[in-house]
Amino acid sequence: MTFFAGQNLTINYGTHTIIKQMNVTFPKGEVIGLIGPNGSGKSTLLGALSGFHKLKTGRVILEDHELHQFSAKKRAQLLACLPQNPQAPGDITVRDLVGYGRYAYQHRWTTDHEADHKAVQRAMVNANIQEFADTPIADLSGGQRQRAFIAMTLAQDSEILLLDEPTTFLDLPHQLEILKLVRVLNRELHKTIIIVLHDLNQAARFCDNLVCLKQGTIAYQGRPQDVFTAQMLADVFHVRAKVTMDPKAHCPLLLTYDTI
Amino acid sequence: MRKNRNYFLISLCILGLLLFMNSLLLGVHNYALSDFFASQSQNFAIIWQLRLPRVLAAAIVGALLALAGKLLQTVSNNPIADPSLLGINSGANLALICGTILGVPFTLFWRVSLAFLGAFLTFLIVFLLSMTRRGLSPTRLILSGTIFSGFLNGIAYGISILTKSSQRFRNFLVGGFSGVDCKQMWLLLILLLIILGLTIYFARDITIIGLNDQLSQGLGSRIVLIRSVAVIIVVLATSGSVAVGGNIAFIGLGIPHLVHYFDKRDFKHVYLEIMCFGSVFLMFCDLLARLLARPFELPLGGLSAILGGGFLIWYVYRQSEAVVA
Ligand SMILES: Nc1ncnc2c1ncn2[C@@H]1O[C@H](COP(=O)(O)OP(=O)(O)OP(=O)(O)O)[C@@H](O)[C@H]1O
Ligand SMILES: [Mg+2]
Repeated sequence: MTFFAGQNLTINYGTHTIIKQMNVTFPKGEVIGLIGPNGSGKSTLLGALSGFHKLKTGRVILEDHELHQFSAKKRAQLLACLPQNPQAPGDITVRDLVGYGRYAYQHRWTTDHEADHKAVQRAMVNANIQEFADTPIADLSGGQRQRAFIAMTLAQDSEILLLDEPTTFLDLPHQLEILKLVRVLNRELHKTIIIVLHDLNQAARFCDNLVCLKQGTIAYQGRPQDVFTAQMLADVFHVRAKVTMDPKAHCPLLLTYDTI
Repeated sequence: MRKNRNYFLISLCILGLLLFMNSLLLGVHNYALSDFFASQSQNFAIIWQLRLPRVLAAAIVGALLALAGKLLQTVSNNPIADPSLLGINSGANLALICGTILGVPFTLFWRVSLAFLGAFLTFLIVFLLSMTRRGLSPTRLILSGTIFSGFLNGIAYGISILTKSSQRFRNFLVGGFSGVDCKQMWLLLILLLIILGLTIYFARDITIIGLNDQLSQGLGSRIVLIRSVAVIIVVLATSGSVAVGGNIAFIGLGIPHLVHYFDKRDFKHVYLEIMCFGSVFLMFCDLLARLLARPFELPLGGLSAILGGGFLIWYVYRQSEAVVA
């Protein structure tokens, strides 16, 4: 059975081909890191996987069905996506924003308010934003705002989470907080999480599987121990680097680096 | 918190009712409460056959324009969007003017059909101008609407000067409810019911597309469908309003912002408040227009623009103060 995969994906902006005939499979129950230089097509791939970008060729398979066979709401129950620059009207409160995550479960006249309320509460607790529940999102710091949006996607109760650079604009402690949250969501709630990260050491440490994009194609995919090599870094990122083993976290670590 | 907000809606309704009663009784002649029921008197007929359609039309048009403004602001993620920016008003106007010059009979049926036709044609053109490869671009929608409506207004103005007929179109260009009869009132009532039904039915979906496209798509929203519904509501509401009341400025832009001052929640929570506020505001303006310079009437469109502009300046002033403080 195919859990989540893209087959023969080609995506164009106008006549410009961004992703060329890509085949990619995402293992169930893992944290999958999507890495690659700026403009390599990470966000575009994520947009295609969530059904937002139209495909020129190929198909996205979700639980043995083509993605577009699901209704929009059914799809949102299976798959939640946080794009790179989420925007919402600044005056709504965190609670209302997180409540939007329940849209896929709400029927027009018969809505289970109790279940919605519980799911919203749980999502806010999990994303550690509940103390700001009644704060307008315009009044939050960048990190709190990011967590509010993550809580919104958590409220979707989906098995798969797509997160596009959830750690940009955050300082180191808050980056770690988000990454640890991702890991908890994966280990305890068994979510499959596909996450775009720019910090390569964080990607190596927090992901079970790395997908390395280079100019719209997959250059490498596999366990960090296997793909996170000097060879890959030279090939994909054009940096000369020394890779060692992190003694504490037991994952590859980028030590010294420079442009080639 | 929640209680307070309900009070806001309830007080708006009470205010609206009081204003409605007063608008029926006050005017060039003032009547007494007892005239409501004196079914034999002439006053009774004036109140129920002349004043009622007029006051009700003001109330409904106020509600429709305010709703149309809020809808447009929500679906285009643009807080200063206004139906008049889409050129819908100008299109309806120009169609009415052209129709009149071409000798189309000036009955309700023709007037309304022309207004709808003009509104839809204009909207279609503006819509096509704002399509991009990635679908409808809200920014382009506003830009092309503004430019195209300027173009249409220019033509309308030119025609009325060339044919020396600007006096006849005064009512469209300035806006007002002085000649409204029962048929127009019924038309607006039906339109209001349709629009209210659609809005209640789609309120939650419309709220969701207030987020950016990719977010709302990810949440399970069918953006194209919902955006089309919203835009259809806007076109219906605006063209109906223009057909009966002519150009009335400020409401679509200003009322949603004023309500926002009292209640900052999202679309599904505030649209009823916005409609009530729009009603109250336009009834108030209509009443003032009749009372201020008795026995003459002031142009309603101008009055609402002045009052609304004043409100808006006060609002912006308060906002900036809040930032400084
Ligand atoms: N809306 C668009 N229209 C046209 N081209 C686009 C559009 N969005 C992205 N592109 C192009 O597609 C390519 C891939 O963009 P994408 O956003 O997927 O990169 P990315 O890997 O997410 O980069 P980053 O790390 O900077 O976020 C880039 O060359 C970009 O210029
Ligand atoms: Mg990106």
